[in-house]
Amino acid sequence: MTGEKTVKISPVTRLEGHGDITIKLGKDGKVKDAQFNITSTRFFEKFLEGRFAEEAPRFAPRICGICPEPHHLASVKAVEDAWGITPPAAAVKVRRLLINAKQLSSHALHFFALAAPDFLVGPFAEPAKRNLVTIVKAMPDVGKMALQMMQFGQELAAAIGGTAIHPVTAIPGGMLNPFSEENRDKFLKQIADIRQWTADTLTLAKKVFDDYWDTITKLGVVQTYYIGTHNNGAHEIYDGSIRVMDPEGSVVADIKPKDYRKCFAEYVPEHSYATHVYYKPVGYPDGVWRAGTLARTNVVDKMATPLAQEAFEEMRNRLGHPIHATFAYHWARIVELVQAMEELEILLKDPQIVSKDIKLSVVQPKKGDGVGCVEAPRGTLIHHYWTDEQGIITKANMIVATNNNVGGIEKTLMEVAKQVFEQRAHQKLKLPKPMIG
Amino acid sequence: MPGCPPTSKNLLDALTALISGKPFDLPEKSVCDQCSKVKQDKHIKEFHRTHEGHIDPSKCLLDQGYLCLGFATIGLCGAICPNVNTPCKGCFGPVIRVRDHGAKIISALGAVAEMEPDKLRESFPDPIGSFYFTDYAASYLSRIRAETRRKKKK
Repeated sequence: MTGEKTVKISPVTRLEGHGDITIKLGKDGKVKDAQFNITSTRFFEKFLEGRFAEEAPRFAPRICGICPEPHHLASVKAVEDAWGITPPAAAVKVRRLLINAKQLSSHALHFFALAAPDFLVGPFAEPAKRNLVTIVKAMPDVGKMALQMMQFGQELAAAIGGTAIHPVTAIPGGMLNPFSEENRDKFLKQIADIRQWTADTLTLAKKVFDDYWDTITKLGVVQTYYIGTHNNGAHEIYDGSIRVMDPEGSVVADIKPKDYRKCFAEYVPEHSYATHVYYKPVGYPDGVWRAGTLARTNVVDKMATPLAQEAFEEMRNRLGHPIHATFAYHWARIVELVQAMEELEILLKDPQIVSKDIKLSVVQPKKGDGVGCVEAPRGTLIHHYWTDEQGIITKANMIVATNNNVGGIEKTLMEVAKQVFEQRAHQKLKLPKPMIG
Repeated sequence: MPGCPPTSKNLLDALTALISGKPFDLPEKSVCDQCSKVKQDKHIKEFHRTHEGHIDPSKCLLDQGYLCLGFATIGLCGAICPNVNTPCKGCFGPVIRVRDHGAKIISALGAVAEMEPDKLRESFPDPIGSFYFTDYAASYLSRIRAETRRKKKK
């Protein structure tokens, strides 16, 4: 190695938003720095100021086109918390149906469109070939199944929220539109297919994990803290308590979302517009945590539904606990996909899901502040609003999945950069013959 | 291509036009023209915020006093929001040939709201959020204000 070198990947594709990767190598060939640069600002916290709080759930989904439902719901929950409102039980069930519909379509999209191409076509295949179109062409049955799962989730979300991308019906005090019996029957009819497709996806995913066992267990294995939501120890995405787990696997904090500031702190880096959130008592960077699928399945004791529990136990039996292997995020994603399918089936079969009693008649704005927390597909999501007597937002703080993950992403990036540039680890991995040649 | 976001049908129509070399014209219609709710002559005596009371699913939201912007918004979405009992926020932008979405809405309110001007103004303490949800930056008002700021600086 002759001089200093900077490796830049710009832009990073397959993500919602704008990002670059910058890796700096010294004269000795050693990795000096690894950065994940978020290259744009969003200003949502600022431009929510002065708005009617009940309309924040209309603004907030625009933060993300892949996961607008969690933003819609975190936002409405924050306003309800600020105004001291409890929505009717049936409205909560409809919201749970909405967030699980999104969980299903987002996880299917992430696995098949964002992740699978690298595994099925092979990590060293031509980049232009590593995409969903190649999968659809070479494995038409798998491609069709993937698209149908995404379609089911998106259409169910649209039946509840009006539209899948930027839903509109959640309002402080409940939901503006009941879920109709016709829609319930239509989606219930497809559940047997979804069950089968989810099982087939799990089988396919496990084959991929076996094939890439060497990669999963050796590349990008990084110890961090983990954060996720649970309900009495069971995996939960709409409403629960937040657990923080240390790298050894001990739960070091278990808090109500309202108390998030006891555990959450934000580090402002020079090289990125996104703050890095970390576990406050430990400090930065030692307290960096990761959120999302693997983090959630690390912090919980169990899944909430039986088939997901089976898949979860198999993952833990094979990889241990806590799991630090970054590639295991995909495995955890499939475990959660199974739970989303089971949750949808339970909710669709619940007679209350078509209730017309889904909104309080009297909803009174008041001065106060409120926290709304849900699990977005990629991690813990917090909206915190302050409102005045008229119910107008005076201040907003948001911690999105990206903030909860950037610190961990950089830590992983540093580890992988060292493995690749210093040890050439990628050339030593045992790789399978790609399924798509 | 207007819309936040455009619907799958909009994209299919636009791409089909692009590939076949045919023109893709924006419709003359408004969201109201695509909405199935029953409309009456407008005599609005009071405006409600969206969380207040219950919206009657069969009737026009604006007739019920909820600020639904369908009348001023281009009809491309299929009236997604009013059809699920939610007021239109105008995210597809103004009807064709209207350049300032919010100004169009404000002037129409003057015609349909049977309210004292002060009371009407009190109903909307946040005109930007209520009338310019997605397109303030493209409005005449925003350009006029930017011009005023520039002059002040000089």
